[in-house]
Amino acid sequence: MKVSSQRIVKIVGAAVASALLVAPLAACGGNSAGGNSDGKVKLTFLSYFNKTQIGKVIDDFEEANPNIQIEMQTSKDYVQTLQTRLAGGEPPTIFNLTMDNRTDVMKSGAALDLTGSDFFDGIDDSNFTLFQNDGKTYGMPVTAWYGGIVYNKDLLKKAGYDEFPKTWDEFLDMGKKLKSMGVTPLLDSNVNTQPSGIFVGLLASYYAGEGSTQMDEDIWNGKTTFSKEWTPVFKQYYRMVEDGILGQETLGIDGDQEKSEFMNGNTALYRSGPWDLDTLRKSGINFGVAAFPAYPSSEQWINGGPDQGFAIAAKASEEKQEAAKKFLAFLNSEQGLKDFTAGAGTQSISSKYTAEVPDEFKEIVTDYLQKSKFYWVNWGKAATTMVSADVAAQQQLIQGKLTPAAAAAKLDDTWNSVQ
Amino acid sequence: MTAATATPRTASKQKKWWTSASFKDNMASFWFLLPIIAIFVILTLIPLLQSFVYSFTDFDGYSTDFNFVGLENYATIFSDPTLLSSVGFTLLYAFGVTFFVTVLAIPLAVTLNKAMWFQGFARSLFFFLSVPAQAIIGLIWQYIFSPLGSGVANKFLAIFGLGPIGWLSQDNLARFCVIFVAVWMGVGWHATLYIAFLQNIPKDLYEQATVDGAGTFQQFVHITLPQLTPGIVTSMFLLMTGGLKIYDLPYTLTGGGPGYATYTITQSLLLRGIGQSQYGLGSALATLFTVACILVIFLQLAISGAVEKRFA
Repeated sequence: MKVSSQRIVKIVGAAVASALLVAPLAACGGNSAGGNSDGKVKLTFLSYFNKTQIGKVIDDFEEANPNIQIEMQTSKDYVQTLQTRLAGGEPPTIFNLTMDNRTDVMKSGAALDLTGSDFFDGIDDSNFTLFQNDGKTYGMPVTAWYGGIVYNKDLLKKAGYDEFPKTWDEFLDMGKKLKSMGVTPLLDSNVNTQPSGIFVGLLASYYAGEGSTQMDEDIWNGKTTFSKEWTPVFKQYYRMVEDGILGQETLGIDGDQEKSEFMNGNTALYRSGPWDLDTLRKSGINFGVAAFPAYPSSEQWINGGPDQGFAIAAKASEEKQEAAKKFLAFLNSEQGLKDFTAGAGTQSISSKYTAEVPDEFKEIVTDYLQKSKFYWVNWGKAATTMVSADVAAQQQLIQGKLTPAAAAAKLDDTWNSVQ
Repeated sequence: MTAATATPRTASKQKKWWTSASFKDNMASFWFLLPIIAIFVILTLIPLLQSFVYSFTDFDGYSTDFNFVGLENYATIFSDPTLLSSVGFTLLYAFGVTFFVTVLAIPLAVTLNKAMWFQGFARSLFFFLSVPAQAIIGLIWQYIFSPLGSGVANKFLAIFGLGPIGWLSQDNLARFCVIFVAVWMGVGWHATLYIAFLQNIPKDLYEQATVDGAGTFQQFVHITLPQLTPGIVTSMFLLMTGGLKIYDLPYTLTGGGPGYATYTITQSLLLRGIGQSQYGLGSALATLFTVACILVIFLQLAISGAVEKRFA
């Protein structure tokens, strides 16, 4: 068969074009080999934390372990990215178990069983509860976060308060006084993205008053419902709306706008934590930090809980798993904890290192965090869906479109739909 | 003799169909298209087919073990008020943006097509609005439409002693804001598209119409609009397809709220598939969404085709 030179040129051109287009796809495949050409063990770490927060831990670990190299990866949509990589059979060697995906990841078998690891030493067993499934431990948390109410001392003083109110009724009275002064008493931007920190503080206080130790576990286990447990708290929260302390302007704003309003003296208080400390100090505003006011006949609590757990891929090679365990051990060392708590602004839960607590937060750390009076809602299942339902319910409650009982019932409906 | 001569001719014809110049040209085009066909098959067609298969399963996105559950996922979709709410807003958005952008972009294009000393600058200015990513525009407008007294729009109203208005905190106002920003972003780009079509309209038509005594409005209705029909079809097609799959803008501007007021189908799809680890349900929603998009687009093309024929 005679083939013209023109035709050869066309075929070669098409082949080259194909190769150029397909080559990048081939590059998408992961390197399944354990080591690098330079003899180092190369680990991938899909991190929930950004480079500022955990970068120094990695740098110091690599310096101490020159034969191990960690390639840190982050993603804005962390949960989705991790899920895609796990489903695609290309898990990162090290990853974080977040409050949104911990149950699904543990049940899928993607995380290595770390039960009884030596490097857990110094961390109290109670901190591992969130990262356990069927009696096995899959994640190691090393830090805890906390938050309370940040208030403008000058504005409160003008309203006649030298101290932040300790009970919900006193808190509502103070809100009314601030409102009458022409000040926005409170903004709660949390309601647009997650459970309201103020609501959760009130919920924890309510649970404590009821003598419950199971908190929301009984709802997850089907022993009780949101309607039964959350309706009384929604009712108290809704009193802020009825009294005009919390207005509809809180819907549709983000955390930065809320903080800006506080620093400009337009708003008297908002829920925050150490993550805003630098900005607040720089603003020069005279501020204090307090625990959330207590539910009637109960005690004050703060927001908080163990941070994301660190996990190792069950599919990783033995060599990589051993190297990853060394990283987890470094993380739970004095140097690792010092680097991490300084970068992330969190509190160590390991006895191997205790970070200096900022003066402004000393009271809530000493009186609440260290006395285990901290709480956050960690959904037993389908966290993203439940957060979305909770956000919608909170917003509609503030809009007056749902009653407290109806808001709780909406959560029951969603919870039942994800079972 | 006749038979003897006919046989080699037929054989020669049979040989020629695949050695003919047109076949060779077609094959050359095929080889050049092969890479893009391969990428389309690998990155679009196969995932679409996979989604279709997953829509009949309880696949959770993590484990590769899953069971076939028949039409259970499809039944769930039609009984979920959140999903139905997202369908409502997505349709409102797609039709609203398509309508307002079309109505505003055509007069804008006509204006920008006239000789002006700042024509180039004006065209660039309107076109630029569509250049930044929707997610970034959403974040910027979140500050402008902030329900707080310090929000840009509310500060402006305060000059006249009005407001503050809860732009993003009331259902209908939040819906208005999302559509408004999308129209604001899209008008300039689509006006540029129309300008390209306007420049192809023969000037003779306007000259003849002027001689016949037709006014500016009559010329617009009877010459410009009919001649722009192919442009309108293209623009509306792009607006409708873009509108149905909208995600970034409402996600960053309102987060789908307040409540579920500005919730879109794509948000539901991600929440179900990824957030709730129900890939099966998410895939069923994606399948229905794809079918619905195809139906809407075919309907639109049929109507556009009929309109084009009328003015041809």
